Amino acid sequence: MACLTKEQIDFIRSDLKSRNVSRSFLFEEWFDHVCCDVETLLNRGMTFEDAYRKVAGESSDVEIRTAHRDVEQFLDHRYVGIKKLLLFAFLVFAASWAINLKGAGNWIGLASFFVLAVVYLRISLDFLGKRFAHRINMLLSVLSFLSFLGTLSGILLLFLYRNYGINTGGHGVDLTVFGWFFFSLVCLFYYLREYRTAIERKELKKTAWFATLSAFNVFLAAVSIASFPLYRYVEGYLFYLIGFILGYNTLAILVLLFTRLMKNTLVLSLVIGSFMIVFIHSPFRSKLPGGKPKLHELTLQLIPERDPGQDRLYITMFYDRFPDRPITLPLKKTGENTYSINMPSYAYKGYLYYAIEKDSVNAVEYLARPVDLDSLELKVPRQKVYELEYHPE
Amino acid sequence: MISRELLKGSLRYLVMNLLSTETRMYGYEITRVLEERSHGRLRLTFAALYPVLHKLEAEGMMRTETENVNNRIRKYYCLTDAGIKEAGSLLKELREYLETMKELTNE
Repeated sequence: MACLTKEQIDFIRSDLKSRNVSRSFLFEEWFDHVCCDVETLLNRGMTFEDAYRKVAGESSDVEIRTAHRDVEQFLDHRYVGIKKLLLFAFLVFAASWAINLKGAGNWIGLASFFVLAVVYLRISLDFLGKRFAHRINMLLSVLSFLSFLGTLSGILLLFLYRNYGINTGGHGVDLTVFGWFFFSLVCLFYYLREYRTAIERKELKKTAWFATLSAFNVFLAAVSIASFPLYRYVEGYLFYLIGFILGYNTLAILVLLFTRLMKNTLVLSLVIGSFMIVFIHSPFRSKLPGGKPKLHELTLQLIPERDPGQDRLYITMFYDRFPDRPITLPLKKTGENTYSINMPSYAYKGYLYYAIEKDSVNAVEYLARPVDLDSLELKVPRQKVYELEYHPE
Repeated sequence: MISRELLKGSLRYLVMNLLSTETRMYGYEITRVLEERSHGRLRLTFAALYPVLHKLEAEGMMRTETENVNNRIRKYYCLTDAGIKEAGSLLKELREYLETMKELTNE
């Protein structure tokens, strides 16, 4: 049985490589297939030159390009449903900030992150299902699952902190950012692999851009994570970092939209997911209707003989968790012997230290002697009306 | 020669059935055996066969082994346990389908 010599094999390899398909994951198989075809003809008595000319004529690079495209399509087509889920998550998220529904926005926002987490879970399961196709898919599945866990647990902790005042030690932020970091890694590994095996120029350009975008997201997420232990030192610069990340991802979404690349679900999940995760930690959210905090009412009930008869009194106060952030606010007369104020509620559970005075200057003076301050325990949101002490001098 | 359209739907069955009788085979070997057994009526192109093999591998029906043979890398395909189980039921399904087609075309 005739076998190809090393020189003949090298000749075939270099000729096939010149057709610009050597990056394909099918190249080695195509090369072996062509060699086997040539060997078959050699065994029928043909010369190498004639045999290769015949095989090369029949087995053009269209064959490998078609097979490559077919396999790629098979591995990608399941992402269609995920894209719809993702866009739904983003719409719900946008709605939660656009509409002020007196606290319902928080629940709508939570729902949008649930959907985002489901997207990450779906992607994780998809990679798991395709674990035999590429070895790295198992790693991508685990990383996507960690993104799912990080996003889901992080958003739940944030929700509990912001709405029920449960002290979560700031881990809600940590977990969501870790979720973003892991998903950025998923996209980076995925698009690097795609880039390595892409054979069409358009695919090469596209995957190179997606891999770069993913790599930059990995970098931004890593910088964000690094800021956690260094918070005290970088606090003043976080505004710029958050602004940059949001601007970068908004630009990426617009480019995807205008270049008609929105069908690339993984990269779309990355930019939309990172935008959502970073936005909830940004100061911009409070500027939007849905980001306005809920209000709770503090009511001062005076005994009639202590009522100074003014239309307003002043309260100077601070939360026990933030003793370095005192504020002085006016209490308006709202009824007979009753003064009230609507205050932003951050679902705080803990003690409020305060003093009430006839004018704001006197009220502020209390801060110099904190021992004279009264205190009350806030149980937001369960309780919205509180009795305050007033001791006229 | 059997047309590409007719072959497309049944290739998966044929490949799995063939591999259920062999320990392992490589792509070119599969095309040669199918061509021989069909007396030349079934000639598979690279573009037709390899997507099927990769899909079966991605689905966990097949696993692969690579070896360096005569200065080139050769990828062998063999059925997994799930693939062996699937091949049995697919063959039964294919026979039913062929019976049905036979009845329909005889009318």
